[in-house]
Amino acid sequence: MSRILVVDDDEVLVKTLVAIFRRAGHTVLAALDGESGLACARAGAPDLIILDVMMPEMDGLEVCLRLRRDPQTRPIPVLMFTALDEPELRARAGLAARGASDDPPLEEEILADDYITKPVIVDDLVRRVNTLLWIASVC
Amino acid sequence: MSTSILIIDANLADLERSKSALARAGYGAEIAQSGAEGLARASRLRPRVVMIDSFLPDMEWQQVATDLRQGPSGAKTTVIMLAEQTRMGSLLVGQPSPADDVLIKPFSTAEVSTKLRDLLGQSDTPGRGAVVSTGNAELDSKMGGGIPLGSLTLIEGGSGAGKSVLSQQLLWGSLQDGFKAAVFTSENTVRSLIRQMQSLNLDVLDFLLLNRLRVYPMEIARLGAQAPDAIMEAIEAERHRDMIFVDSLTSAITQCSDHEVLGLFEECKRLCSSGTTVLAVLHSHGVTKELVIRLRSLCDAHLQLRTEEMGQKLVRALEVTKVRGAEKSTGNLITFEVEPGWGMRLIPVSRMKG
Repeated sequence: MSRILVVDDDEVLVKTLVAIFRRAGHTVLAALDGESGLACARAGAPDLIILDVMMPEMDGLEVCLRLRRDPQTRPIPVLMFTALDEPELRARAGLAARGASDDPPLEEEILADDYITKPVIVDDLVRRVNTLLWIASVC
Repeated sequence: MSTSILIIDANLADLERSKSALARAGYGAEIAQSGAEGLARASRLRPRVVMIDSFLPDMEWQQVATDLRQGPSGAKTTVIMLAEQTRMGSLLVGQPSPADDVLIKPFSTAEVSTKLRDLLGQSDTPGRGAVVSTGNAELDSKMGGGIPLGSLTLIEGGSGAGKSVLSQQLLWGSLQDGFKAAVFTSENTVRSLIRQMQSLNLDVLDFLLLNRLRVYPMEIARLGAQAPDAIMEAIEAERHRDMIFVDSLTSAITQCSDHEVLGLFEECKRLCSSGTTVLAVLHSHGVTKELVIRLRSLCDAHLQLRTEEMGQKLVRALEVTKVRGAEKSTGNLITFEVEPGWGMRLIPVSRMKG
């Protein structure tokens, strides 16, 4: 079974995802803001991160960028869990990357491995998580 | 204060199961089998907590929760959504929820106990005066229900008798039940303790990351004669935690007189009177027989471990010599083996003799 980190500022949603994935036999770590999410990603060595985009202070895109720029967390698959659609997500990702560093960002630095829009049926979310975990295990 | 709980669930078998788990955690619960019945009961009972199943025959659970919130005591009501494991896959997540938390059915006593403690805080939970579970129901029952909260426990035994395994089992059980713990260890580093516990299927890494567990390796040799005072000072600094584990005290007290050792235990006892539960591990050869007798009378619980030959096998035996304030009568002798990936496995004495 895997270690999954959930980062979202919606506490009830985090509790729900923790309950779902824990019941499925995974170890689940949780963080309610971007800064704690980064700390958990570094200390907890998760196999996958489910990351909310719209969070106060440090949003999910900036968290994702920082994860990608840290050699320790770079290989961890990230699933963006967002109410935004893909074009909006890409536009915001570009802005986040430009704001976080003077260096021009590489596309693979900004983008998550996959994204899924809120709200979602639990089965769809679990399937997407399992696919990402499987890809990570064979790559 | 007893916390009133209302469970709204159309499935009678689930209702009974949930009610039993709550009863074991020390909570009484009323039941309702539909949204409308639940709302009617809630307006009369004004429960502190309402658990609503996500699949009700007459109403959407969200509507029940919203109506409850608008009721006379709605603002103070904690709402927990119940989701049945087999139907969980069709739940919609990621939209604003009127619930404060979620529980997946069937849930355990430990699970619901932790959840309610987190949601309601200590004052509304029946935890105080209760026991610390080992997380192993069989072991708990042999130990008279578990270690009473706010007690001083001595775990004593020879080399390889399973003292550390037992203290780790108790640590895991207490963390599972939502208690905060600090471990002072002369046997392990932080990493080796986590790995050792993982090898026994007692994974506490999450608790460490969430700061529900603190681990302090003790360098006894470096502290020398100052060790007992230094340990007590460190324990005092962690007194806000529910549980303090010291594994082990042996090397710290080898240079101490009996009087000084008793003084250390008396300090721990003072800590317990303010609600902290302290478990100290001691090697039998580190103390005289006379001192053990005096320590035993000072402690609220005394668990003695040894290795015994039974039939053709060498097994570990735990003798529960004393548990003051135990919920039930304690078993005298528990034989067990320690299995990697499993932890403590109890063996019936009759099978060992056979």
